[in-house]
Amino acid sequence: MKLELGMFHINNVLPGDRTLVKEGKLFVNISELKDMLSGDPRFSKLEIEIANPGESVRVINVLDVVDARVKVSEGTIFPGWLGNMGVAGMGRTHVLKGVGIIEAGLKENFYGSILDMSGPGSQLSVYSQLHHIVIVTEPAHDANPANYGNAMKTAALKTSIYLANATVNMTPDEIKTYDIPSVSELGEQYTGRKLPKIACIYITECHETIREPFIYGDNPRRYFPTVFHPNEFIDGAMVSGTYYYSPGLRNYTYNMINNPVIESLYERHGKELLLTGVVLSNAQLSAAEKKRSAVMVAKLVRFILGADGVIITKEGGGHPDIDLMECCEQCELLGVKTALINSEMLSPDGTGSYSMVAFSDLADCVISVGNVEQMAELPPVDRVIGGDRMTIGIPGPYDGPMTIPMRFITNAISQAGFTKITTEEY
Amino acid sequence: MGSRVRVVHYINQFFGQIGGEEKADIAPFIKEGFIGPGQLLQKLLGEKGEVVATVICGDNYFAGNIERSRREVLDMMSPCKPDLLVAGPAFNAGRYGIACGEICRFAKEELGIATITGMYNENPGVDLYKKDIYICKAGPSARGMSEAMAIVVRLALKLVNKESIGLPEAEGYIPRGIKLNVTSGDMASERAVTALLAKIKGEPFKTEIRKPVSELVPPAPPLKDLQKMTIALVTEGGLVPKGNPDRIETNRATKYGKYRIEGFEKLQPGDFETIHVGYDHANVNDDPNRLVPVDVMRELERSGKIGKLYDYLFATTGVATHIENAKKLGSTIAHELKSSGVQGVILTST
Repeated sequence: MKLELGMFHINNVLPGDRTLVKEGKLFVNISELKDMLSGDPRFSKLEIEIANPGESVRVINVLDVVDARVKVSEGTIFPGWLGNMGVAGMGRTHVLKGVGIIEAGLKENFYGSILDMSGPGSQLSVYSQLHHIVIVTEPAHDANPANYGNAMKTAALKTSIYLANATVNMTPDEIKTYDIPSVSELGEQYTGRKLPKIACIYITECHETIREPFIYGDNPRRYFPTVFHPNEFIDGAMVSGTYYYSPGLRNYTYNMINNPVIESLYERHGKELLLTGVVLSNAQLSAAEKKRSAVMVAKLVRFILGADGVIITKEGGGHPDIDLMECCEQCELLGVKTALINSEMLSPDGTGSYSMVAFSDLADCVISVGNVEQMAELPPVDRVIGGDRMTIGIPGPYDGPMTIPMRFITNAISQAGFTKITTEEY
Repeated sequence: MGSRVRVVHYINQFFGQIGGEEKADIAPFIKEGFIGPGQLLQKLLGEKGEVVATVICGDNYFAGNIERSRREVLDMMSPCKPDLLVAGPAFNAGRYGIACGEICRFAKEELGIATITGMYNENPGVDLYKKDIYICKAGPSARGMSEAMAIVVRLALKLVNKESIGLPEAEGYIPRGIKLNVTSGDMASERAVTALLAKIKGEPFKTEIRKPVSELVPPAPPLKDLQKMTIALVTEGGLVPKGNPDRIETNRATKYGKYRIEGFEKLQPGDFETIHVGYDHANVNDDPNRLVPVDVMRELERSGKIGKLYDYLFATTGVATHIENAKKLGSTIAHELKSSGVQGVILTST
């Protein structure tokens, strides 16, 4: 499967009379964008704001981050949402590299994170380096959680395509090719030498409404583990629908599309390893289902993808840790080496025991994305975007100095591996 | 610090040149200046510090009554007004290691001064004290004295001057079990790929989270004469009276609630609700008895299968709760139940 990603490197986002990309700048016709999104009866309020790196701006109530991309050939993008139903991951997609689209919203149980665009807070999140278009919304009185979540997701994905659409007739700054043949064509005949075959396992949450992603537009509550081509993620086959979970820690749509594990493996594909595919699984709700899923995951990894090693990530915490460890164990038992990515829940001062519900003896290679409880000091800012209160119960004023656990900062702790934060033992 | 650092050195009878095992019962005493390894300590401190006194104590004496010994040692050294206490190094000597660890911990707490020691990795003093004080890496025997003392002095001066302390590897101390967030040069995904490839090749790789040692709780023996016993209901499922009057936290709980259920045939929906953020509330709010089975317990009470359902239920939320807090909550609840004559508990979890 071959996908060409035509990249336009954006170094500034500015309001403009017309939405266009010129010399690395994205100009946004804000009133046109606002008009396009405002008709949705599930919103009572919708505003568009811009936040660039280096500005003294704090974005609060960050619920999800998407990026700007559009399909410019045959094929589909965000299938099941805005795109036609079809196989994602083929043809050519244009992307505005360096642009983020933030869903900021306010509703009970919608837990938003905090993103500083400058100062020490901006050192903690990869998202602070992006140029953001922020869609600030409030729900209509009668919008239930599913309605409101879907409305925001639709608005963000529409914005994604709308912005990237400005480049349809332009030549990208750079074209990156994502091309991996089927498993049967991989191997020595492909590279001329023996390289370890590596797969990855992505375990989704599937807890309840507003606590799960969408895959080809559908929720992942009931399905068996299944094999994906990595390119499908790059074209938005999976988007986040998770709003009711630890706001800084959850996997955002941006890091599903720009999945860092897939990117890292692609980077070394054909040189140090062969990327054979992704197994998508879910954190089922009962122990028997978890075991069954893990057994099926390991079977796919070992006997269908033929992998020698696998990287396993999960969403959420608590019961998904059982899935993480079961998958690790079942893979290792079949002779597939594993590396896991997980967060740590220690006391704010870094002491204490790791309160994880499961930890396999075979999990001997676990990468840490940091202690969620360690405090971060954020200095005052000039401007706050995203509302005047936070539903997660962090008290204002939000333009003043704040001391908050890192689990409230947008993906400072990223279980998808989209962070440079880790722990060291002192 | 303008003037020279005032240092007290703690050593055992052997290093204090009193004698071996036969002198291990000797009570602590203090001498002016340095003795034995203190000579090296003074040499390494040079102009920066002065070993003003040395306290010598027998290992058996110290271990025999730790509370008395540490107080005696502290009272001897306090009048010297030390800025720093150096103990040992103790190498792999177990009782000496514990004495060094304890006197460092105690002096740091009581006098607020910098304290430091050195031990071999496997010295039992390491696990007991590494969280409280800096323990420098030392070899298994006194043959490693010069290396060990050099590390001790270098780190000790940093502690006295309140300089920031780097990673264990660079500074030479034994990791203290304190994990702090730092920024890595690479994304987590990159580190995962690198570690996995090394693991496949059979090369060394670094795991960043090690399996914690869990405490095993032996199951209590089965209850006899259930029909005569008082049984309590305890849950971590966050069930509270409507409105959460005790403001129990919805996650990371530090407290629990105790709620009267005396005379209740069952829990009425609307009277109770769950505040736990870890699961969908619909089923429990529709029928709280499915989380805390008061209805079933009343039937068992009536049929004589249990003596009595205890008049109160205990509830907290078990979401992302630190093990240390969970232990405290559990222990407090258990003591209260036991002192109220409860003989059995049904714990319901979510």
